[in-house]
Amino acid sequence: MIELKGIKKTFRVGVLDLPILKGIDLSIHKGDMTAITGTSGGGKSTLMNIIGLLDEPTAGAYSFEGREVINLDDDELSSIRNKKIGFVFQQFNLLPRLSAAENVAMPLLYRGESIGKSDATARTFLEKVGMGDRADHNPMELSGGQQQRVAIARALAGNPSIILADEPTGALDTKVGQEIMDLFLRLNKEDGITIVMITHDPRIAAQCPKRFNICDGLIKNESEAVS
Amino acid sequence: MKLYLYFREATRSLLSSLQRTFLALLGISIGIASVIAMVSIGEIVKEEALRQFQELGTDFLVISNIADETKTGTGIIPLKSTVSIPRACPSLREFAPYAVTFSTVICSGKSWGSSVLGVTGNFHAVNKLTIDKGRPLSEIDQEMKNCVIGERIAEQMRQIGISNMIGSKLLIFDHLFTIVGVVKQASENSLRPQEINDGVMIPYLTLKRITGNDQVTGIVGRLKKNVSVSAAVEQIQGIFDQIVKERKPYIQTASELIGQMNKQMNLLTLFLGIVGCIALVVGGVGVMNVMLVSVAERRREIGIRRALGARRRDIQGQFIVEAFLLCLFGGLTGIALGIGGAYGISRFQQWHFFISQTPILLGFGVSAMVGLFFGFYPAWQASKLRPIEALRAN
Repeated sequence: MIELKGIKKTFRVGVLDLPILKGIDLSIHKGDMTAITGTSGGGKSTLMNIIGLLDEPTAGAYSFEGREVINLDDDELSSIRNKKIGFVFQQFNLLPRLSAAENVAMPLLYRGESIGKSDATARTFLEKVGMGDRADHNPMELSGGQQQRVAIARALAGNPSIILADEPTGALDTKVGQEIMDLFLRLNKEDGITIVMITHDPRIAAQCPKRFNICDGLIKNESEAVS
Repeated sequence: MKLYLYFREATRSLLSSLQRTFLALLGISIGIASVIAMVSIGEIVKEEALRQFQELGTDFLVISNIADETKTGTGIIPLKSTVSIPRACPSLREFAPYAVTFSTVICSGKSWGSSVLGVTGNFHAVNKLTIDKGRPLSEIDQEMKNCVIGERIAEQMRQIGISNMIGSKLLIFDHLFTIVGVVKQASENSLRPQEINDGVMIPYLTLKRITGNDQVTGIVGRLKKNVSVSAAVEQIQGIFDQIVKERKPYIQTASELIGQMNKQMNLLTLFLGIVGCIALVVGGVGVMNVMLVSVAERRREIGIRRALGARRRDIQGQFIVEAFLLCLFGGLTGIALGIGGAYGISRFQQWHFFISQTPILLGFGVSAMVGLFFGFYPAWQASKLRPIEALRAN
């Protein structure tokens, strides 16, 4: 489903070219639950941003569901992000002035769906992540774990092909983090949702069936857990 | 549907930072208010200036510089030679020659120096004078020692305790005159002979008999309806060329003067409008500044929206709508403030207040334009933010 070949990313810092990714080959299949681990500054987030079409690689090939996505124009990239990719961030990144339901409905509204329909969909997904009774709350009134559940509902609401989670448990304590992890595992098992997750937490990574370790801009080892 | 989304997001954002919104509104509304107040005041002043002339009538004309006050005898026109003028000039409807001299006026032992006008029976009507008390001089007063006084003499008589002036006697040129009327103050800056307010009017023939002076100082007249003013002026000029060789009389018409006045006043309105527009541009720059700050503060939000699939034009739309709403509400308050300001100033200056639709349409149009113009750049900047950089912002 996702095919990366020889992805390189170089940042220019002053007069220096700083290579962050030095040639990543990676495939993600439908229904996978993949963890990307590695030292901080090793390029995990950069890789995630490239997968999420938020950033472009300096070199390499990227095919998303069989479609070459390098060199697509901004509107097409926006459309793929909108319909095919659901993001979950470490800092939750809910829009502060909107209620939980309005946050979840946002990708649907950008797709052009009606207010009523997207609100109904949003509430269904909030129900699914256990936040049905908090639909009209403001993000500020919710705890970190609750905010992350809303963010997951938002990622799911657009019915994407893949969920990209960048350190989704990083800002949560161990217990709440594990609850979020359980939610991801359940979504993967029960609904067959494809999930790619960045984490530096070995206990979280250990629960993912597939793991990549990025070190110094390259994939160091790939392991498939026996589940 | 998307437009609704932009409006919803823009409204929330404006409401979420009330202080910033208020400051932007303040700037733009002061700008709009100044445009409206300035343009309105320009129009009010213009009306005010024209009113005095329009009250006189656009068909009014005055011919002056006929007599040479320094030399008597040369180049003078006696009354009888003006008689032929109305016949020679068919455009003239009314025609009233007058003579101005100077005399001491004595009343109850007080004496004042004053202008004395020798006037014909129709002088009052041609000048559209208003009588305050008594009656105007008419044809039957000719050669009689009756007079009508202007506001200045009336005021001086009041000061010495004479309130009932009709029937009072004045000594003019050592002859006893009876006051038959008092004229109301005629508006100044008009084409009427200045001496009406300052002096005393006596019948022309009386003046001629007493002083022996038969020199026409000026002529006031009225043109017929629907005649070309410039053609009439040329015609009159031609007649005078035959009567007086030495000098060219000035012919001023109310319509020509109103035209000039209009031009000047339009220039004034334009000037005031430009001053207002400068204030408006400053207000617009304020909106742009607020919007740029707003974009900078909300980079992360922009990043999140982009990650959720907002296209560049979605981001741009939201920010333009935000700027547009600011200017719309700023415009509404500005229009109210501007009308209020114009009302206040005209009340203070005792001008006739009115508001035309021009400044209001101008205010609305300009505020919408300012909103779109000054909102466009920040919105464009927001839309050009790369999602990854926007997301990384704090």
